[in-house]
Amino acid sequence: MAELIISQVVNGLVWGLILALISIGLTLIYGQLEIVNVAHGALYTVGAVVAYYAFSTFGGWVFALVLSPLALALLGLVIYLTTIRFALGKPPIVTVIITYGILFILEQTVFLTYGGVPRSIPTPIPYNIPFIGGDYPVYRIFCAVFSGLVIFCLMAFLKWTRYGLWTRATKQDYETAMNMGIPVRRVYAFVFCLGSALAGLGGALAAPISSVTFTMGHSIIIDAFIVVIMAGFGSVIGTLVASLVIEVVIGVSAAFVNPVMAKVIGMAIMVVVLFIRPEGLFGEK
Amino acid sequence: MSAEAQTHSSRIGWLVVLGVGICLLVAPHVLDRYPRYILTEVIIWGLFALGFDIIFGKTGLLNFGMSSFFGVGAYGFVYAVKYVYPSVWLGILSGMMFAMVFSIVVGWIVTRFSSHYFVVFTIVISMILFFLAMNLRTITGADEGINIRLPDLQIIAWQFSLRSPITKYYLILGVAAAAFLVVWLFFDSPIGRAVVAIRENEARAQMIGYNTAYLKLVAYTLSGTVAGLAGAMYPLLNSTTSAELFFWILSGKAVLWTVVGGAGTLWGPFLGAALLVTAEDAFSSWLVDFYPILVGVLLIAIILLAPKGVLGTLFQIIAERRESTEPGGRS
Amino acid sequence: MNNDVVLRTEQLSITFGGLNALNGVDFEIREGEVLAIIGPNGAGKTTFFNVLSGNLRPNSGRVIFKGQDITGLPSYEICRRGLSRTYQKTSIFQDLTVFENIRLGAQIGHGRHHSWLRGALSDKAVVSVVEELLEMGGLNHQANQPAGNLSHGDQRLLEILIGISTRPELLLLDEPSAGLSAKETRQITQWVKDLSQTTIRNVIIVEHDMDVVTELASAIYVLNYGEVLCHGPVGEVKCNPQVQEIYLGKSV
Repeated sequence: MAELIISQVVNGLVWGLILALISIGLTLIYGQLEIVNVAHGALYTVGAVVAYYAFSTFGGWVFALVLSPLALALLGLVIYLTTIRFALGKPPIVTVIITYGILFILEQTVFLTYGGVPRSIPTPIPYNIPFIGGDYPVYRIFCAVFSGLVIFCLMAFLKWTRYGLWTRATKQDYETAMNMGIPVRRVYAFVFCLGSALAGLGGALAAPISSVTFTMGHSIIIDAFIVVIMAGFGSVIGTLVASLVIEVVIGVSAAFVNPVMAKVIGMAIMVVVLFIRPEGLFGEK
Repeated sequence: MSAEAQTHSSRIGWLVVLGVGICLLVAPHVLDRYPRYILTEVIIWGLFALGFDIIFGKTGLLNFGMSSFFGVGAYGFVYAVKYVYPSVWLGILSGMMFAMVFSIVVGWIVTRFSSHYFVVFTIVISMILFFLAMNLRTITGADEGINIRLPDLQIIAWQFSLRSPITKYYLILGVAAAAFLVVWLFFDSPIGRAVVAIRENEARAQMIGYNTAYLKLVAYTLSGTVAGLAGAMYPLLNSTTSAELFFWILSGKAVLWTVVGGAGTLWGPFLGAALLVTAEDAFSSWLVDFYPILVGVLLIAIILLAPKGVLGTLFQIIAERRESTEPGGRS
Repeated sequence: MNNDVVLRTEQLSITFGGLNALNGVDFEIREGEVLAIIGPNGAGKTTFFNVLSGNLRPNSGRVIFKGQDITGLPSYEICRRGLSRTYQKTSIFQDLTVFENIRLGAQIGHGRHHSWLRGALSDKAVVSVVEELLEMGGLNHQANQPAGNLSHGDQRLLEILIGISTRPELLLLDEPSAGLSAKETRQITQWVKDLSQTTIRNVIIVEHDMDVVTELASAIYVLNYGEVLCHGPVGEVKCNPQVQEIYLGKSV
């Protein structure tokens, strides 16, 4: 029993870090552009599918890991330029509906090209290390470490680079940023691409450990929304912490109850947190 | 639209409504079996979308989880008819009650939150409900669902067999018309207008004395009950229900139909449903694969180019041309 | 005229992230008084209004309205008890008609807002109140225009009309002349003066324009850095050297 719980905790941490990538993408997009990106789960799916094709066509896993976020960044740019850009001054409903439409388009496109049958990618690192009761896949550890690294780099980027500073400045005060000469529009486009790339990267990482199918985004997007709300829209660190907590809780619960109930538990926690602190654990009022 | 706006300038509007009404009454005798079925479906979906229009078009809250109410209403009907007592009225009442209670409970939680959280909350709730419904096979029958035998419809002394699609049509039409009337009157009344004030400027509404949290809950409940009523109509029409009714894509359709038809107009959802359901059906043979993509594109195009939808834009053109001399205006 | 205290605050304080927006503010307005609150930008005037109207919760201190403690009550409850407020940045229902804007407040003023199934416009009492108010403000010819179509001056007027539509006993006017031309300012000042002498007798105004203050108010409170610097009859305060110093350059 203790072994089961520990392995669930570890799995929770792994998924938590992957989820953090996706959720941070979501919260950045919201924090910056005030957009609730309903299509975020679909971006994740596309990332996984791109990784699948990259891997099955060209064989290299590293290639897939690099191609996915780049492809998604490009996709994000296309989406931004063709739709989001026109919605910027308008009420929030507009962007929500736009991303909803994007969701339909992306998922159906995946369905039509990739097909409706779930496929899996063989694990890129076929080793295990002895762990407690049995063996633990090294690949999962790689995922966790890699995600953590990316998040660390991201936080460093936001804190210390020029674009990172601009990102934070425009978030704080749009008008002052404009007056300071910051290319606000470009920052918006950049953040949207970044968020999309993160989602895609998450999908690429997750592809070998879950099955790749056109609806794979649904489950993870629920978790991502739960996390982002719980942490408070816009907080990167908070999102990381919340992702870990939620995935561990859901993982451990899944050992005792039905996986669906585990998700309900996750949601219940979110509701409780919000009742106590409506702006989220780390959110700003 | 207020009562005054109707009497003054919408005589044409009422003629149109009358014309449509007559067509609707005559339709089942004129149409073939399949088009008649589609028309009946359109009425149900229109009612469902009306539920969305209430919470979004009129109250300004974007509820992406309308499918939950629909599913709850459908199952409410089925459980009552199958396990309690085979009466159509009981089924309808049960569907409505289930949906109403569900709306109050969820609404109480959800309306406390600011608009962005609200949207996400509704999405999350609806997805979770879908997962639950699909997994609790013993309760819901999952995607296979639960089948029922429709009892006869009892109106006072008369009994009508519901095996006739024409009878079903009139029943559903009647229910939808009654519900529409209630909703219409609601938004003409003081409390309905207070709800609209929330959409326009919630902070100011509070500052003139409106308890907006309470009003939002009222609107949410009305919205959910109407959508649940539509849900109860589904097994009435098809003698079956399934957990697939909880699927979030259905929520998206309510959004689509309302936005296309014209959010906030109350008629818009029916128009949107009519246009798009018939289009979907027309496509079904050779473009079914592309339909969701077209839906996505259409949603984006409409919200960017004609955000008020067909009726909304039409009304706006009329309002701008006519010389306004009566009170009320856009409500 | 009785001289009961309509509203008073006791040691009202509120801090935002370390900044003392209000610090121990004691304030009092009596029946029939029109008081003005002046002070430099950032002195806490609008914050004060926000606390009175329930938009903000103070960290300490109390607000007593008509003898009852209303500190921390939600704004809709405070409004229902008879305290109404307008905004410096016009906050009206832009897409609804002028008539509807006022009717929404009037229906609450008449306690009719819970009614479910009777058409709102069939309520003759409410409709006549609205027509009266429209007449009072000279907006009756624009009654069916969307409020957003009105000129800025008319919108400021509508802002006040909405504020009084609920028949409040105390009206808080936040910079009624904000954004108005000199001529519009004179017009609205005269209008408010008539109002304060007839219908709404207790008014608190936040203002920058000293001419408006002199015209309308009987007494002034001066706020500076969240504290009450001094208060008293208009003439007295105007001659106060400290006040003159703060308003360096302004025609006090």
